[in-house]
Amino acid sequence: MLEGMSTAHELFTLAEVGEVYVEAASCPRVYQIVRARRRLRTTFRGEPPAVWARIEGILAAAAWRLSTIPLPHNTPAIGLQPLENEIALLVPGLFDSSELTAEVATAQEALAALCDSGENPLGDLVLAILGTAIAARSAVGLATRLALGPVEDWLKSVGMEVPILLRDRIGSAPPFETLVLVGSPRWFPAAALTAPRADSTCFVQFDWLGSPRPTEGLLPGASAGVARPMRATFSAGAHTAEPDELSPAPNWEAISARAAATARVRTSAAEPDVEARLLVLAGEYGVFVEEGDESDLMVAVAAPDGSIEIARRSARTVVPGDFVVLRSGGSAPDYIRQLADERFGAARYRAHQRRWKDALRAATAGAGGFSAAQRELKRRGARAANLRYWLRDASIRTRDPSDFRAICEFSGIASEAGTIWTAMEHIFGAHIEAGFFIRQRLEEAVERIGFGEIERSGRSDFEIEGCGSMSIYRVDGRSPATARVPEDLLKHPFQLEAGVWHE
Amino acid sequence: MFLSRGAAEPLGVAEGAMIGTLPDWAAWVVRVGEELSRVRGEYRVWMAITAPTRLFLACLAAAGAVRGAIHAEHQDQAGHFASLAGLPPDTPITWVGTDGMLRSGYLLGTEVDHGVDCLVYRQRTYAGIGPTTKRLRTHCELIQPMDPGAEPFAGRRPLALCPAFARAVAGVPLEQLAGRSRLTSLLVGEATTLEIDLRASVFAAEDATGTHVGCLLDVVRARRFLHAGAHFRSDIIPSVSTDVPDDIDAAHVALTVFDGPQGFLRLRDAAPGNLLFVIDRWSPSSAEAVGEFLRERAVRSTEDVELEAGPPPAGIEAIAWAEVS
Repeated sequence: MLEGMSTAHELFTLAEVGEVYVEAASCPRVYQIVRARRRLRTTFRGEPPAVWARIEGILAAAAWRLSTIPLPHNTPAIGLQPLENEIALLVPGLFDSSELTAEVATAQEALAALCDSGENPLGDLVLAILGTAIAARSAVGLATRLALGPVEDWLKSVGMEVPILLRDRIGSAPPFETLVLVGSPRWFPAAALTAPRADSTCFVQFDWLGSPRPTEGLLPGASAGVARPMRATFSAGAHTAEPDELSPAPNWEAISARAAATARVRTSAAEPDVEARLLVLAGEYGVFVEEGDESDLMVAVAAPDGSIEIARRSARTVVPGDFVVLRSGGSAPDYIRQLADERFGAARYRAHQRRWKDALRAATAGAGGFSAAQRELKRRGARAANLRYWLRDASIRTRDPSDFRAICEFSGIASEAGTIWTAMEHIFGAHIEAGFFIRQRLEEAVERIGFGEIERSGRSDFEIEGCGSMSIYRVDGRSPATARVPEDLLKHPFQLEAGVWHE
Repeated sequence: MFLSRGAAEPLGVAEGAMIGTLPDWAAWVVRVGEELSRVRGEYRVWMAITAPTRLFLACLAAAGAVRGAIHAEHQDQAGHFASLAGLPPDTPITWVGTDGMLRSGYLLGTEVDHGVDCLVYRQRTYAGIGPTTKRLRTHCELIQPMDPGAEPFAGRRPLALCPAFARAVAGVPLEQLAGRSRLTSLLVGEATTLEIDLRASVFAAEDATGTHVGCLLDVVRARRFLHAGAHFRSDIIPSVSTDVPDDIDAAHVALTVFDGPQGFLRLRDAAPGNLLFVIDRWSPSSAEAVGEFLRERAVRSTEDVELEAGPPPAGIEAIAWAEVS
């Protein structure tokens, strides 16, 4: 079979016969940290006082890093020492003799011991498995982006030159003979089990994480399942922990609510709320984005030839592992608009844009509110589902001229419809030109810095002529639900509270 | 490894100069596309499949849909002549010559020659416009109006990149496949990715003259990737599109194939025909898209449906339901 088809066939064959199993290492000290954090969570049921919340954050970060990074515990790249320093300051101040305090103190001692330990139980197991594999056709996969470079360096230092893959990139890699994935199967895409990318896929985890659960496909009730047996080569001891209690799972609702409240303080009361999704960005930043069909984000994409393309994509399709471009330094996030005004002549048509927005808002209020306005527009033949977007300053014109005519008639400015539409065409064209201008400069900037470096660090800042400060951020998380936030929070990166995203 | 081929599926894979049996997963997807192309009328099928990779799947399904639709077509000779005769003078047309090549020119009108209705037209040549030609009404089925906006081209063009391959896979004369345009299937996905799959010469078919290596584009005939004036059977909609383009004539579209979640999330409401949603289980947004797919089932009036294509082969999971209109 020729290339392309043979690759596809190999992937289907692996999905049928690829072996998947779990090997486990032992490290009771890490479990002590996990157990203390669990007790803390159950004691306070999600609302701990500030000091306890910080302690929980420290324990969560330590447990996650130790369970996902196959490096000697005392390696600075794991970052245990700063966590130990901080908890060492907090624990003596607890002043009580409860079981919880005693358990946290035990966890602190375990953490201190791990900081001085050169043991590497997960790494030793990784090396043992790779030692029996064909190194040239093997790879290691990580569930965390932390310490990617140090893990690569460590493997090289022990004579094992294999590619390191982040969990989101495994699916786009070529098939391997052996793939070692560090951590519980729950911390990797389910496809690692239902569509393995190697003849032999081995998860390396701690024994107290327990035996793996059976896998399930994506389609409940499908006419053929893709569930497959997964062998565990160990028996879990009495101290088991659930993989989900270790993985970074922030309280999305609380983060969204706090960010929205902070934004409202500096926003006028008239600022409308919009439905938006929170993305967690590298470096413990967050950003809210709208997901409507007409709302998009600039993303940096690595082309197959290694070059970098800057493209616009619906925020709905942006997922962890992608890179988004946002304006930084406190400037207004809509850099395209500013550039279109200042460089491509859109400013002289903005009065027309304000004219139809104001008229539409007044007509909406006059009709008795949003729903009534929607009904009236629908009666006039417009696709009224987009009314919320049309009311926003960000929208320039409707996609269909007939919708625009209906809006102008509804808003009492029918006689100006043609003039305003022509003006909006000018603004639209200027935005296209501005987008092209900025894409070119961003591509040049990214090329100068090197995409590899941006991937490694997760964030990079640069100055763009005519736009000021811009940043590329790696997306680390995506809220499962949307929240209502003030409009001016959109596309505006903000620092998350310490510890909410504990990677 | 695949040298013992089944008799039912003419499409095979190229094994050097020989032909190998299409793997089970590929043959099943072709059958699904073919079957879905025949489902018409009171209900339409929504189907989702997940696979370890999307490579070739959407294009194989589209090839099946085109083949299924062609076999369901029937020629109404008298009606076709009448529709041609009703076109205004100077309408650009194409026809297939006796050498199996596509030509084009301008329709002039009709004449009665020795008591028989004829179509009169002139060919566009490199030198300009050729002499007037007549064709009897009984031989006009290979004359077709060009697509709106298309201009006649000079000289002649091949109907397919590998005519023998296209003919063997489609199972009909090449003129029937490539001598007229009828939009049968839509592919929604990343155009560059789909083009790579469509142009990959990794397939083979055989006939009495031998084994022919070819690519799926010869069967799928996606308008976007054919030269101007060529007749098409399918088209590509980029997954970033927010609507089905206005120039898509959806009247005969039997199947829309979504290659990946992005297009499905945007266009599922606007897409015509039956819907086949191809998901790579590794895709980061696959779970969200599957959630949307299942939500559609919950809000629509549906019935369970069982496909004749049979259960999916190893590595594929599939679910299908019929939306009752």
